[in-house]
Amino acid sequence: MTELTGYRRANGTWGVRNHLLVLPARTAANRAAEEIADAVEGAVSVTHEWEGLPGDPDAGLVARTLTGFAANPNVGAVLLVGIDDGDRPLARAIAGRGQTVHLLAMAEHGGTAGAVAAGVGIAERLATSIAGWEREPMPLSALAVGLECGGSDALSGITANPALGIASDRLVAAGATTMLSEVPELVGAEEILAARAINDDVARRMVAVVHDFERSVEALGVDIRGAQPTPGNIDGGLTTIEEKSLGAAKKAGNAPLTGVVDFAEPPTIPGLYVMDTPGHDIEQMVGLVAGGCQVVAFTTGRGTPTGSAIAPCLKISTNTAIFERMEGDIDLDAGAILTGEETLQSMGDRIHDAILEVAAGAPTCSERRGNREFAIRRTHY
Amino acid sequence: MAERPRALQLDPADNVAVAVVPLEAGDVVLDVPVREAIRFGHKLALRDIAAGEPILKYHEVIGRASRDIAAGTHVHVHNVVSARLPGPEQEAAA
Amino acid sequence: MTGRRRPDGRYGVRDHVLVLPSVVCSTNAAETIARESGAVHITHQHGCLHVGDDLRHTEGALIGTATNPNVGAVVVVSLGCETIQGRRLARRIEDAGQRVAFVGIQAEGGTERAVAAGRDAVAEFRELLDAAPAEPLPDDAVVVGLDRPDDALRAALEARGWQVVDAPEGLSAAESHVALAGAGAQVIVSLRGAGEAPLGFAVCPVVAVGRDPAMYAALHDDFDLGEAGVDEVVARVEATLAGEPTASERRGARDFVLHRLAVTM
Repeated sequence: MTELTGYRRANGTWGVRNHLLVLPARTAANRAAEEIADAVEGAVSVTHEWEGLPGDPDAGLVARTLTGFAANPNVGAVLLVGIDDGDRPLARAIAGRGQTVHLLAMAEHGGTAGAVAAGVGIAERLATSIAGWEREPMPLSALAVGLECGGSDALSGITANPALGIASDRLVAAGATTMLSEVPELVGAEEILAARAINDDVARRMVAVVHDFERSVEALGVDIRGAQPTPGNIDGGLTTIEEKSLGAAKKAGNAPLTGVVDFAEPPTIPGLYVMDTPGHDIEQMVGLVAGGCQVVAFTTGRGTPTGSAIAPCLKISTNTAIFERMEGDIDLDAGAILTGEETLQSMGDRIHDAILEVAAGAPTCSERRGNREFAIRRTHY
Repeated sequence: MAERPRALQLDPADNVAVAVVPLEAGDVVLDVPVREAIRFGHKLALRDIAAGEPILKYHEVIGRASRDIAAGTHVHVHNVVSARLPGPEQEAAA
Repeated sequence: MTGRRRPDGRYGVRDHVLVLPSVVCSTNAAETIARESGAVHITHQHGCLHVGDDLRHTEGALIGTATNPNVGAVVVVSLGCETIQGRRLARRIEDAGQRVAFVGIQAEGGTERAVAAGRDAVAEFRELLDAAPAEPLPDDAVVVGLDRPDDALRAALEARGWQVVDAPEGLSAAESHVALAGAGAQVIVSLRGAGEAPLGFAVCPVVAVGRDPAMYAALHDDFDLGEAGVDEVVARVEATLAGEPTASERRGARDFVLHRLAVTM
């Protein structure tokens, strides 16, 4: 079986990739960040809609998210592209997490063109410096795997999610961390998860986080169908949010629930966690990665190519038809359980092994295609 | 050699099963005559379900019947509502 | 001054083929299509798990961008399962009188096939648009958007016979660009105040006026004008209408900041 290897960072965390991330601090820096990353071999960038306007009630959440994302140990160094001194607090916060970060202020270079010229030089130097990192044998206790589902269908809860649950249980039993998310897709499953909580406090939090979400939806006074479940879910046979949630919760297997964490909050000890994220595929992926997940295992019934600029996203189809149809976008087929080629257990073992192979360096489809979707989570509009 | 199942009842207490191949009227799965076409991944009723009765899958409630459902027929958004979150009745009231 | 006459009688001062992802999950395919075929595109994080008014508002914003008169044709790129259904979006854009092609990642069978189909669609549209002649641009067909109120500037623009639309209240200036484009503005004048950096917009040239001298000096290349009188701004708008690229167009800025009414589910 694959030996887990990674990059041991100065702050004690371990990365399974060694990216140079060019991160815009705010929208106005998007273009400069993109151009710098395009020009430098191996650099990656993301694009987002955070304006950074004064007085925004989500400022703290966004700062925590961007900081956590940049500090993920899969990133060897960050070139933070900002406008001016107003972006220094973010740079300091990233540095405070033990990440190598250089702030490039566009205001010191006359705007985008000058910033790109300077930024390419800086990025090339950063790229050279991180090229010196080498993989070492990595303890499983340093690995955190996000458990995600997107484009779910009725088979999600029957094939791919339970198989991922078997993989998750194996990882957790061996000392790793796995993280379930998507609170809206746990409506109806919260008691099942709470019953596995390691203490009453965690159990209470598990139930509360789902009930809080339900109350917020009731306050909106809208028909949630079309949002949850989505048209694709419904076309794929999922009828209600509870049905979707019960299937979604299977990704977490049977392991005890060690804790419930906030969006982008890294857990302090290994185990199975639930992170408070929306169901939105990209908002949750960003939250998981900002919370320290180095790998995301992502089941899909309808098929989706999305990925993270800085973390491998292992796609697992629920059915063989979509695996064959969306060639190049999906890594593993749990539909093999229906055809009899695999049992639930053997598929779970395959997923477990694939997660470790990916962590040790094998690229996922999302990485080959360069998927780098990014979304800022908002709680206020 | 056992025939591969065409529908899965995930728990013996469930009153629905999930089609894992497209089913046609006239098929028989899990001893239940199928009364209409059921698409891959969609559910059929394993027994008659009265309006208001819970729909059971994984031995958990996944919703309530919004009208009477006959055994062997399609169970989905046209005859099931969530027991948890607002549905069409919410927009109708708005 | 010339422009491109659109089927609905409006005029574009640019002739873009827009590759429009209906959802965040198709943004990578849309970007690849646009880069490989020389079209413009937007990157956003929306399209799924919207409810109620927010759903209608978001769909409306995407339609507004797609039907801006600077856009000659649209390729909608959809995943397939999203809340803002791609096919429906494409149909609504078509109903509004715009040329549309639809590419669905799930329908085509993955990213690679979708990108190939999208590239072909862009190429066909490009040929069609390039074959159409430019026509004289009537003054009353010009719509200028202002991202914050300025009575003197408005009066000077209107004196040229041009229509002026103001930003809706309650939106940030960046968010207003989406609304102004949806209202048919061919050029957006962005009046940047204290500490405000210039932005661009994929389908509309943005004339960035730097009214904060410190910001204007610091980000000089990304502004079009500094402390400028209304006549200077009007002249710059006229040059833009005539085809001269703005700073935002030169750097390829394509910011898309969407005002939302509710959080995602």
